[in-house]
Order: sequence, then C-alpha cells, then structure tokens
Amino acid sequence: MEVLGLFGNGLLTALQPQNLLFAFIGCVLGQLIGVLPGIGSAAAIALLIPVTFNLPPVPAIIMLAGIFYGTNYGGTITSVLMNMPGESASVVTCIDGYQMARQGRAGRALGIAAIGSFIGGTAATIGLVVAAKPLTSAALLVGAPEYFALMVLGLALVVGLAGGSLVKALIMGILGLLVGTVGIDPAMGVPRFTFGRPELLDGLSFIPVVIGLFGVGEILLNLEKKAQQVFRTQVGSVLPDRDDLRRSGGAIARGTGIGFLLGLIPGATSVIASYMSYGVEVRRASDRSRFGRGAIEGVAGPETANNSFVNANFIPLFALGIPGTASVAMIMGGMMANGIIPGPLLFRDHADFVWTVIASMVIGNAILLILNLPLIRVWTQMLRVPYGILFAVILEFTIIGAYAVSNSTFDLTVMTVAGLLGYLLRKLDFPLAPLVLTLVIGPLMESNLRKALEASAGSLSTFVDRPIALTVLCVAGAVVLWSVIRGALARFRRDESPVTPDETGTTEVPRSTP
Amino acid sequence: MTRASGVTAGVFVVLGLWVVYEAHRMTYSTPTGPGPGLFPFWLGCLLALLGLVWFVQVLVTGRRQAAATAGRSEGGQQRLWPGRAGALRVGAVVVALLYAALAVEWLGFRLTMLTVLIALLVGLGRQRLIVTAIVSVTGSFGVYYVFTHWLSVQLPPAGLPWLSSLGL
Repeated sequence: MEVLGLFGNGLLTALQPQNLLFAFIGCVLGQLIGVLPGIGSAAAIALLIPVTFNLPPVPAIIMLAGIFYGTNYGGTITSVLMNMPGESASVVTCIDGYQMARQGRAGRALGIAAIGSFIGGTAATIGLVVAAKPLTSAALLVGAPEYFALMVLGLALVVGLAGGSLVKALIMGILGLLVGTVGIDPAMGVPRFTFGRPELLDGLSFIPVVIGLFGVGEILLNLEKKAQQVFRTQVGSVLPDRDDLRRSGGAIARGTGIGFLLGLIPGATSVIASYMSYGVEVRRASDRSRFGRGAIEGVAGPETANNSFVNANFIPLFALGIPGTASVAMIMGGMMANGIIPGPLLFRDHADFVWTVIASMVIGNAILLILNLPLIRVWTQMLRVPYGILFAVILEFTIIGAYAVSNSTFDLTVMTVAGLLGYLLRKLDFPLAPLVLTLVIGPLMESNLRKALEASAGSLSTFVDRPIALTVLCVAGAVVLWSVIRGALARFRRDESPVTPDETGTTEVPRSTP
Repeated sequence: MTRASGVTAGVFVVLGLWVVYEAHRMTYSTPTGPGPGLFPFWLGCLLALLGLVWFVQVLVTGRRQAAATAGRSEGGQQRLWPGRAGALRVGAVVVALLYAALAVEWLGFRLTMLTVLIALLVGLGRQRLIVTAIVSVTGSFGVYYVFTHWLSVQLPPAGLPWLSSLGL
C-alpha cells in the first residue's frame, strides 16, 4: 500500500506539464533515433546529456529514459519496412516483420509491435514498482565492501554473459576502468595520467568518449561501407485483426516474462531477450514452417521482450547502482551529473525523484503507443532522408554534444580520438559495452574499494568477513569461471568439426551494442 | 585479421606495462590505507596479463588456421582495412572533426559548421547544391539559434574580432 502511495505521488509529479513535456520530447527523440539507422540509444543519450544540464534532475532523467525506451519502439520500423534494424534489439524482428511487409502487412507488423512493446514496457514498470520496497530494505545492509563487490559482479556479468570472447570483454572493462583513473586522485589530490595537461586534471569526461566510441565510430563504419538504402514499402492498416490478436496474445505474455527476467541481470542484452522470445515462439508453434514467412508471433514476442527488458533494466540501476547496458550506463552518468547517485540508498534518499521517473515510464509507454499507431506514417517519411545528408547532421550533433559538456575544444579532440578508437575496436570485434560500463562506474568502484580497505587498515579480509560481499564476489567468480568453461567447450566442439577459413579465434558471435 | 589482432594484443601488453610503471611511481599505500597507485597498478597488471593471454590465443588459432588452409588459396582472412575509397571517406570525416576542433573558437560555431557541412555534403554526401545550401545554413545558423536561445546550450561565437563585429 505504501508503495502504491509513493507511486501515486510519483504519477502526479510526472503528470505536471514540464515533466510531461520532457517525457514527450524524450519519446519523440528516442523514436526518431530508433527509426534512423546509424546512431544507437547509448550515443543518442550521450549526445543529449548536455541539453539536460540546464534542467532540474527529474525532467532531465525522464527525458533520457524516454530516449532509451523510445529507441526500441523506433528500431522496429526499419526492421519491418527495410529489413534493416534501427536498433540491435530489433534484429530478430527482421525475420518475420520484413516478410509481413512483403506480403502487404507492414502496418499490422508495426501495430502489433507497438501494442506488444506497450504491454511489455508497462508490465516491467509495474514489476519495478513491486520490487522497489524489498530492495529499499536490502539497501541498508550494503556498505563499501558490498558495493564494490556488486560492481565487480556487474562487470563480471557484462563480460561473461554477453557472448563472444571473454578476454576481449575483460580487456575492454579494464580499459574503461583505466580511463576512469585519469585526473586528480580524489583522496590525495595527486594527478594521475594527465601528461601535464590541465584539461585532464578533472579527468576525461565520459560524454565525449562515448559520443566518439558509439556515434562517430558508427558513422565511420557506415561511410566506409557506403551503405545506403531507399524506402519504398507501403505501410497499410496498422490495426491487427482478430486472428492476429489471437496468435499474438500468448507471445506477448511470454515475451513480457522473458524480457523482464533478463532485464534484471546486468550484462544480458535486449538482443538476447528478443532472440530467446523468438526461440520460445518457434518451439511452441504447431506449424513451425510459418516462421520466417511472416508469422506475427515472430514480431509480437521479440518486440514485447525487448521493451520489457529495457524497463526492467532500471531495476539493477536504481537498486544496486549497476547499469546493465551501455545505454543505462549513460543514464547513470546523467543522474550523477545531476548529483544523484544510483544505488542502494536511492529509494531512501531520493524517493520523490525515483518514483516520478518510474511513473513517467508508464506515461512514456502510452505516448509511444500513440506515436506508433496513429502517427506511424509520419515516422516512415523519415526513412526517405538519404544517408548522404543524415550522416552530416548526426556528425554535427556529435560536435555539439561533445563541446557542450564543458565548452571545451579539447573535448572535441577527445571525441575524435575516441571515434577512431571505437571504429578500430569494432573492426577487431571488441565489445564496447564493458568499456562504457566501467568508464561510468570506475571512479565509484575505486572509491568504494579504497573506503573498504581504509576501514580494514588495508586488509583484504574485509571482503571475506562480510557474508554479502563474499557471496557476491563468489557469484562474480562463478560467472567468469562459467564463461571460461563455456568458451573452452565451444573451442573443443570446433576442434571436433572441420576448421573453416575465417575461424581465427578473433571472429565472434555477433554482438549487440545496447 | 590475425596479424592485426596480434599487434593489438601486443599494444595492450605494452600499455599495461606502462600503466604498471606509472602507477609504481605513485604512492601505493599510506598509513591510513591504499594510495593513488594501488588501483592503476593492479589494472595495469591485469591489462598486460590479458593482452598476453589474447596474444597466445591469436598465435594458437592462427597456427591452427594456417594448418587447416595449407595448400589452399589465400582469401580466408577477413579484411580489416577499408579499400582506398573507404579509407578516404573515413579520413575525410576525421579531418572534418579535427578542423572543427581547431576552428570553432576562431570562426565560431556557425561558420565552422557551415564550412564542415558544405564540405561533407558535397564531398561525401554527393548532394545537389540547393540541398547542400539548405541543410548547411539550417544546420549552422538555425541550429545555433535553437541551441542558444531555446535550449540554453552555449555554443561558441567567433573569436576573431572582425568576425565578432559582424555578429558571428
């Protein structure tokens, strides 16, 4: 009951005109970014964080959250109409969504995706409301050693569960932590890795780095390939008929559950949620041959799962201070820039803020449903903008985003270097999510490690003597160990089968950039 | 891609060792607890170790691949670097960004973006002149107005006095 009261108060605050306006702006921007291929939600959030500096924390984070879940709605449109996912989470939607479009049922695919996304997103937000109270109680048990252990677990899950090379993911995680150490040491005031440059004394701002890694890196990759596509498909009616609804009902329910459960686990990606949902639908189907030929369940399930995932992703962020994906790490950065530290004490110290943001998610999902059903044709017009114009406009926004953080041209150079680095790392199949995650949580991780060690006079026994910290660290170790064993088994199986020319150990399972 | 992977692994080993060296020069611990060198020291150790592990992995899988493709024609390697045209496009974007970083405080946001957008739209986007003109003027003067007046985001005016006197 108390939770409902808090949520009700949050809803009233979220419905205030200013908050409503920024939820709307966030959703529209997210939808737009999702529709346009070439820029993901992490880069979009990074680009727009400077805009939020002049806003109070509540509308600022409402807007950033709206961008995050809005991109998932928008990403569906290009998947269905052009067989080109606007967002990595929508890759699986291409399989049946594009086939539906070829059969003249594009509108229905988009309609059921919007309905499923709304249900999945709203249900996951309700789950967040329910989980909030027990998490608030658990927060009081957490001190510096536990907090450090939780961050280690978050990192282990991100590198261990995302698939691909564990070593590469760990290297990226370490690199992010190292970048986080640049600047004046907060405890003793000693400059670290600053090369005598005054611009580095405050550390490398994560926003130009992330804009470079994701935004500029993506543009460089696209321009190298010179990939261009023109949209010509007709949308048709967006309202599903009775048969479509009958077939999609179960898929939406299952997608909600799968997305929610995976969203609780830092390191899992929305791609995993949508693929898992698709797999479940194929396995349950009485006629599996329909899949890949325009089965509406193949759109409804995955689209529901990825939106449920996105909203559930806020649970580990709000409760534990662990961002599960790069985009959530960006939102965490936005919160910290506004003086709000996500983590165990968030529900106690910033209850008004957190409940308003949660309530705004319900409103945001309703806004996105409206944007995606009656207004779908407006968005499809965006696809007629040629990439030859689009890349230049996106590049301009990367310049504004990087510069506006601290009005420094040095940040533009940092962004350019990070862009080249992101381009090269992607070409070498390095996952960028662990780097961004540790870039954001690195300073917190170090400060908690040092606090814990100071309290124990430098003894590591503090992590062994405290049961929660020990358990969490053991789970983190188990995750890494499991990943190593899984990798070894996969190599063993490959050795059993004939070697293919591109098997170099450097080619990985395709990885998303959440 | 094996050679590039090997070189990259080597770079990470060297980087890790350099971090260890630099961290070693900082204070590792103080009477009250850990010093500023502790965290980077262990990160550097881990980075060097992981770089080494990856280098060995690349070496082993490279040999296996070489053995598997022995006697067959070349071509199994994934192409890492872009062709000449692709490299030129990538290089042009990097040059445009560096130009923006250098010019923005002298020419101001509007003129810098105007020149960057014209260059990108004509050179890389292959757009018609009218489209280029509309997009670059909107993207420079229009965007400046929106960001500074509506969103209260400060974008730099021209630093050169004669441009500044023109209101740019």
